[in-house]
Amino acid sequence: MTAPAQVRARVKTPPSRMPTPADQSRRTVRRSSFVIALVVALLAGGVLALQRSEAIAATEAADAAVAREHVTVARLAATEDARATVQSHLEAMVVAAAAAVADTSTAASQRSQLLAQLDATTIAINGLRDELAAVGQTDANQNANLDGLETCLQGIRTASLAGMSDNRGTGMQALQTVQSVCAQTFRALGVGGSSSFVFDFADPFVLSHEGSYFGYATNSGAGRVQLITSPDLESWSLVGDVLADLPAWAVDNYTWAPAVAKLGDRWLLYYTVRERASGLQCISAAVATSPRGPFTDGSSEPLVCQRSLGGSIDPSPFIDDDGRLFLLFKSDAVVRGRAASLWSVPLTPDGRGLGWFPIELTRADRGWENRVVEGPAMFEDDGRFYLLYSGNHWGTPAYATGYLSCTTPIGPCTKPGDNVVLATHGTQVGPGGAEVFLRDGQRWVSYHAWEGDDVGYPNKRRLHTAPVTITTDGRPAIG
Amino acid sequence: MLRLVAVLCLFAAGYARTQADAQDSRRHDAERVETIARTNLTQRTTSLHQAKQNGAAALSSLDAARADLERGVVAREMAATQAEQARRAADTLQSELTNNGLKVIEQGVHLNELLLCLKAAERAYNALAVDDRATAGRELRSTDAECKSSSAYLVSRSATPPTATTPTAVVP
Repeated sequence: MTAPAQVRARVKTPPSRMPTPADQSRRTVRRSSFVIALVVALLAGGVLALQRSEAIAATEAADAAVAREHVTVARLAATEDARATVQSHLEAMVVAAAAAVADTSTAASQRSQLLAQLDATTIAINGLRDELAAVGQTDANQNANLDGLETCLQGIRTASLAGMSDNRGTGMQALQTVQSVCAQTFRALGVGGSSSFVFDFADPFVLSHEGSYFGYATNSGAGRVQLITSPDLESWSLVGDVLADLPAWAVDNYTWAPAVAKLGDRWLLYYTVRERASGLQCISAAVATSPRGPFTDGSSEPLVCQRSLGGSIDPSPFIDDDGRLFLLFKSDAVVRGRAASLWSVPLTPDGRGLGWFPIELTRADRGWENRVVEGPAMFEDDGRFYLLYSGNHWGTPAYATGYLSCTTPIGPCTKPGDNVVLATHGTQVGPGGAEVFLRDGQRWVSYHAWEGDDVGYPNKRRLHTAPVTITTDGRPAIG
Repeated sequence: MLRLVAVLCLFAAGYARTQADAQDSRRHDAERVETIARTNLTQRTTSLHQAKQNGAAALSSLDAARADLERGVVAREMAATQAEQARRAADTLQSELTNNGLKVIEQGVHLNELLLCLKAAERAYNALAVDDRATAGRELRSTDAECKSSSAYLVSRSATPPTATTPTAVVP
């Protein structure tokens, strides 16, 4: 029971006697006390109620605060979880980004390597293209050369077969048809060096007339005396045989070393031919009104034939400044087992007879000559007469060209110590048979040479031409 | 009685005061704890925001890095493709060069053979100059025998179609 209830119970107790003043006073005191107590009790109750209310409010506030705290803590935990998640993702992203950067770097490095490979391959491709183009060009060139060789081969083969059948006209036509193809192919193949006429052309003699060059040579399948012509000494055309017939005293197949001189309006062809009676080589002369021929020889005997010396060969006419005609030649004493010698003889003004007896200019007396001197050719320079000649055996690489220095066309001549002016060099082997001619006022020589390893009969000797000058020490220089 | 009531009232008031104080203290404690929790929450929230910002930056960087990587990979693949194409073109050219080179070598062999044949024919022709028919016949027979394979080659060559054109290599 609360305090106010106890007070109310005590107030309701009934009185036992009549109240005295004292009783009245005590009663008043009691009543006052009761009222005071009641008031106090009420106050106390009020205070208690107030305090209870405050306590309840505080409790509720505390509970609310706790509840809010719980919420806050929950949110805190959630926030922490979220932060941790974000942090985790962040770290993962950083790792991924680093990996991506590394991969990017790797990819860039690999790309650089690939680009370097590409550059190298591109360079290689360009090189391969160049090579392929070069090979393609070689292919085309070789195809053309194969065609040219085949054509040339068939022409020569036809000419040979025609020759076997004694049909030289057909053979000549075959050669004339293919000669330019042969020359072009040989040039392309680098065969023959500077020589531009492709067929056999031994003991060549070249002259210049009215803007053309005429070349004559020893007999071949193309005839007794071959004639070729050229506008420039580079491109030659095969004309054919300019010696239509031989004199009755001569036999065929041995017409060598032709040489031509112009006397007045006539052209004289000096050549070597075999004498039927003796079987020796002798010198004869044929005449024509044109350098193209045909040359005719109506002689009844050789012009020169030193039978006691084994015959005479390699005639070469020389006209001095006074217009006097000389003929230089070789006595073929080798066939008699003696050393060969070179001779000079003045001719009659018509060039068809001897104006004096032959005079010996020199003999084979040098080691390099090997007992052979032949193919003389004379020219004049500043009052001196030079005689070019060949020495050694014609079918060997040792064959070469030397010179003499003479005071007149009939000697006397001196043979310098080292007098070889043209010997084997490059692909030209055994150069000899030199003859002198003028090219645009300059002195040149024509000569023949074997080619590379193809030396000796029945290989071909090819035509070459070169300028000849006199050096300051008085020595001819060819080339 | 009054004293009793007073004592009781005092007791009750004291008890109530104590209870109120206790509750008040508890409320204060709760509020303090709440404040601390709120402070922590604020800090964590700030930290979370910071982390989110960092995350966004990292994500941006990652995206950029991935984009770079993608571009790099594409470029690398393109380079690889070009390099491969160039290599194939080079192989093709090399093969063609080899074939053509072999063809040229074969041509050269036949050229030499034909040249030898031609020289033999020339020797036959030259021998006729001195009416040496024996030599001429021998050389002609030599020509026919040695030229047989070259003649066959020339015939086969004329029947061979032209070489295929070279493919164009891819160059960057």
